[in-house]
Amino acid sequence: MSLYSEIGGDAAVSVAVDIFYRKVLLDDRINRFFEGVDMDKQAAKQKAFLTMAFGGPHNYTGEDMRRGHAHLVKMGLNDSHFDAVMEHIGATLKELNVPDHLIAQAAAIAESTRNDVLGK
Amino acid sequence: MTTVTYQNKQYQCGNGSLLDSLLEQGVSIPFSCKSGLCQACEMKVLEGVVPTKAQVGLPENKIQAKHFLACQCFPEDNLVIASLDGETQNSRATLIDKVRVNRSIVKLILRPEKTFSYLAGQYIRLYQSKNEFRCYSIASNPDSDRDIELHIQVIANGKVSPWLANDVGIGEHIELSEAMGTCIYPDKNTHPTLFIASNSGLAPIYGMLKKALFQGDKQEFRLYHGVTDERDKYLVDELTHLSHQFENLSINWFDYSLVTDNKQQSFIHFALSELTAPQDWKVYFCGSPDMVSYGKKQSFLKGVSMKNLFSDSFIPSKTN
Repeated sequence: MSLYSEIGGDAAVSVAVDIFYRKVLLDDRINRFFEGVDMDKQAAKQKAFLTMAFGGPHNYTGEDMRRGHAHLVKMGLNDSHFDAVMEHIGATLKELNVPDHLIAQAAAIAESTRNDVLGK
Repeated sequence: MTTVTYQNKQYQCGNGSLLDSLLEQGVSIPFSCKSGLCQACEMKVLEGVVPTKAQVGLPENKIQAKHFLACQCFPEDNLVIASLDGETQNSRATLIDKVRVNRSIVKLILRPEKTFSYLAGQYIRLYQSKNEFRCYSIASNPDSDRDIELHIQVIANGKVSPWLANDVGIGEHIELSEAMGTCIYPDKNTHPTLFIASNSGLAPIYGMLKKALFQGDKQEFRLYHGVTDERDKYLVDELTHLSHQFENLSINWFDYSLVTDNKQQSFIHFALSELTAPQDWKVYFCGSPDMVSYGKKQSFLKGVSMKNLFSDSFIPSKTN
């Protein structure tokens, strides 16, 4: 059974997006990257990202990740910001009472996108 | 094999997704994940029925407005589809009444020539000429009103609004688009609901509020109407009457001129101040883009779920 179905599939990811996105918007280290962005579109993208991190269905390639974040890299997006997002993923799953070994799985998948997101 | 019509051209759709079929035939459609997640390939079906799977993950308001995801659509039926900002089937309506309701808003009543279907809260384009049009929200309730009511904010040096306010006479025809937009009130809703409008943003809110009350929804409704100053209030008698008729409705006005700065923010804080148990509420925002974006963010941070937030930003025309 994948982590995605174990945490409850699509409905659970929607709940996770609410919690995760709220944390991101309140975090002064990273919220400038989200200023002026349409909230509905942003939430849809975060859902796609979290679905991927939870091992759910997705077709994102490294190239998509690179293209999608290139404008943020120009704004100064770096490892410290990626770390902050990783922190929020972990905290979100903790709040949803996901067991630690599954949180570690999700974190590993999210971590694997680091170089593409940061354009390295 | 099904036939899909898009921008007046016909395409054959085989085993692949509608998105892939169109892309293979050289049509440019925005897309990204091809997994039904990013929603970049969201389109609208005008004729025919898309499979349920093509709407999975879309919020209920978009499903009701017949939106779907092209990458998840494997058509079983011939379809006519459109992009979300694309062309529409226009029709004509007759202007049957025109009333100035305050110093800057004119109320128009239009009678469509043929059956005109729309959802409470949607908007239409009104055409002054083929290329000159503006969007206006519908203030009537599709369940109970025969005609289309619009509240036109007259822009002093604008093009279309002064023409509507001053030049179009009773009995004359106006060209209008189909109804568009996903800030709508559904046929079924049990959530307590907060409606927040600034100035003529009251138009779609009034339509949605009438739908909610007249279809018998019994939960709590709160309306907050922010106005530039006292002279910009309108529909006061109608709204007061509704609040007497329906005890689950409360109405509050907010006068921007009574605060010195951060007017939009002050209005939002006032409107959200008594929102306890935010996770239960639906919240609608209609009006100035600053008010809408600030309000959405604040209510989300306060605990309202993304899926319960609906908005219509009245973006001023750039071609004035």
